[in-house]
Amino acid sequence: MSFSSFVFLIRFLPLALILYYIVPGKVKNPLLVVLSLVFYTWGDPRSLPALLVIALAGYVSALMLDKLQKGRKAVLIFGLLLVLGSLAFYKYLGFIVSNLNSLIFERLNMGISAPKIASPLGISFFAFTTASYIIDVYKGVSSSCRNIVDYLLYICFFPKLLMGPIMRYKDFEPQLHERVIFESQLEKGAFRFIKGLAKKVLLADSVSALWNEVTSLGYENVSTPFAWLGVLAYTLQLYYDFSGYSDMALGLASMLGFTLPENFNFPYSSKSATEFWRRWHMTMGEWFKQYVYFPLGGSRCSKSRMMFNTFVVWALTGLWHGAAWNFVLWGIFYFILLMLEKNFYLNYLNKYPILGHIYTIFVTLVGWALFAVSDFGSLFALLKKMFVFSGGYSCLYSLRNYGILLIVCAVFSLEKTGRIVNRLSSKLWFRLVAALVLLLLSLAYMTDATYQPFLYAQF
Amino acid sequence: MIKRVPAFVILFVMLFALLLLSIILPKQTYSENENKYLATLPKFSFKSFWDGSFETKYGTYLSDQLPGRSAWISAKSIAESFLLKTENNGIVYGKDGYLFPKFQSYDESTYWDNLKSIHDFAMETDTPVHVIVVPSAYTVLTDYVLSGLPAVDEQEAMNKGLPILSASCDVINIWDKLEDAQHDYVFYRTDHHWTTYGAYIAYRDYCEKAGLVPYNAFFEAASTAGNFLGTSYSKCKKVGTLPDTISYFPFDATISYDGKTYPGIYDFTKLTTRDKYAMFLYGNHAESLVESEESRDKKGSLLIIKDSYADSMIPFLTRNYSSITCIDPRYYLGSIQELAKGDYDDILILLGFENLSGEGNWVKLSF
Repeated sequence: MSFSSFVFLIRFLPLALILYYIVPGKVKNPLLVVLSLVFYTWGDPRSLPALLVIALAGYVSALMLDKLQKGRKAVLIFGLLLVLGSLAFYKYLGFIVSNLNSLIFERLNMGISAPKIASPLGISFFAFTTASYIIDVYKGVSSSCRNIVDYLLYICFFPKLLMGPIMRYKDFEPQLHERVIFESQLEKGAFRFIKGLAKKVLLADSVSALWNEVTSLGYENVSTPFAWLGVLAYTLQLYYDFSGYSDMALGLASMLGFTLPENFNFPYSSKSATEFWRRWHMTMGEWFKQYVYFPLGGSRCSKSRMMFNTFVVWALTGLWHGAAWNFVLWGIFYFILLMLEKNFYLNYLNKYPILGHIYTIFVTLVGWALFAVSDFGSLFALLKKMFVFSGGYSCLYSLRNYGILLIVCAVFSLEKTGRIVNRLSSKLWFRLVAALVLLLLSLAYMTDATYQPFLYAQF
Repeated sequence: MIKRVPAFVILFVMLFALLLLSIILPKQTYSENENKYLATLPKFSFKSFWDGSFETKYGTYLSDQLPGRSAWISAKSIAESFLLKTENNGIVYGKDGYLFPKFQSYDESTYWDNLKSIHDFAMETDTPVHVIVVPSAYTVLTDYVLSGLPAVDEQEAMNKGLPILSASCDVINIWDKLEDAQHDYVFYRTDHHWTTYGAYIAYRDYCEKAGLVPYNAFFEAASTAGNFLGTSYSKCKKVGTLPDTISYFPFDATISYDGKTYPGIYDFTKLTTRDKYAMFLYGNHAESLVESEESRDKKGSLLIIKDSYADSMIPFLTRNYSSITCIDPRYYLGSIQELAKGDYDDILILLGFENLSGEGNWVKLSF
């Protein structure tokens, strides 16, 4: 279930918190596992077996890795094949088949139908978590977890199960047993959860309407400024959607006495694409660095090899976001940018911050345009509209309608604003007022989203 | 407690209170604004849980029965106006309190299919077929729409599409007359329908084309029903919206549908509900018959294939036809072509552009 649903907010969360706080210490972990499985099953009942199989594959592999002296590599490969193979099966089989079709089979007049498999909710995240665990145990970074309850809690902990942050076992393990819930964690967690909910419901969902409008009007039919405005809206939507979700995850975890790693650090305040990727979806970036880039040799090798390693990382990063070529294109776009920056102009961008900011905003917008549209015909139409100046539906009305919202979104995506909010958050009156207003507004917007006066019955 | 952990207390108390209230409070059954029955607690079964339908229904149940649901929705509308938004829930705020449904795209192939069905229908019958397409308010009320609103150019679409009907039908273009009268309250401010005066303008045009003597309506003398907040208002709930007034003429006529005859053509009980426009002809029906003894023309019977725009125009037509058969193709299950073979003096097809360009029910005309 989604954090921003009524089932979660007025059923699951209050009940889960009460139960969690009143049960004795020993029962807290088993309770959290049960709650997490309920949480998962509610959102995607048919995929519970897939989640459990993938999780258990990690559990068994790690136990074997710890016991065995010989054949550890085989266990590693087998475990990873099972975990990442499931990910490939669920998420990419349709994509692979349809590509093979158009490449080979259709030419031979023997196209096979692409299977329609519903991908289990959150599989990209829990498969990556499990894979990191197997590799870490193999490398001896962590020892295996014998207690199945503790292990399942690590993989299935509901705040991070569906959308991260992706966490390594060595960071989670210390929290499994020795945790005390301080008042400060309750307060920080609750405030952060409300902030995240507001980011998702008040900002992301509102500003997404502008991008949807551009899409439904058609990229060919809008004017060039309108196309850019639409992509800007999408850019803000992505940030508030995902970072809002991460805030909610971290807030929830904090209320339960856990600390999860940060995932976003004001990415739109970056001065270069290189810096952007140190601030955007940080735990995923770290995963690719640890488990793909370094094993390939990282940067401690020849320059051409390093380029190749970076290319692989970014093509995979793209593909991880979705089974379509535009995501790969988006990944390669960042590969090219990072290489250009590293070899040519990163120093200039850091030296002239204003230039750096403008450059970063520009490339980020172009990047998200690639990310947004999977159909290449439409993507081409959008890019053409953005870069070949032409008329169409004017953006003036939308600018007027969404103007204040866009300004609010832009201002709160800046690091400076974040610092001011943080300073204010230490004041009691601020937390009181902000929490109350944001929560009430979020509930109002959530309710409104379910409100559908049945217009057409009236004609 | 609230002094030490204020955000936590607010979050916990609020969610827990909603949890309790949503269980304790009596359940609502019907939402007038949404014109639907609100969801009730779904029955649990392993099958419905496994396929996810229980979860979906339970989510709808929670949001439908959320304590203070209507107040939350109004609160959102107010918050949007603080952001200086010029629209809410797909309703664009125009000048002078006008609320316009946003209409930005339509399926061209459906539009052409529907036009072709009307054409095929008209070719099959010997009775003269007249066609009136009612434009959406925002296209006619050009002085009341905020500039630069991207919207479907209905005039262009009609200019392109309607000529294909002229070989088989008499297309009555009411656009210019409505636009000329745009300052005379031809559309409701809070509802997507035209006013009785807007319908009257179209009526006079129709009479001219069909060779009838129009009834002279004096709107100063019309009966009125106030406090009408229509569908557009229901959607956006804009604070400070002024209600509309419905005008009507108490003609002597009867309406029959579903095997029952009602005295009069206005359902005054609807005036106590939100959907006051449904007072005209007792709302939407698959088939109804409006009869009057006062028709002044020799012509006797009219078949009208329509959506609800026609409801406020048909009262005037009772002055010209002694019997009017009304068909709503969205609900009518029989063959309309078969029906049209009956003994009618005229056939009128009257529908809104938005309806003509969507839904696809007009394809039924060709069967």
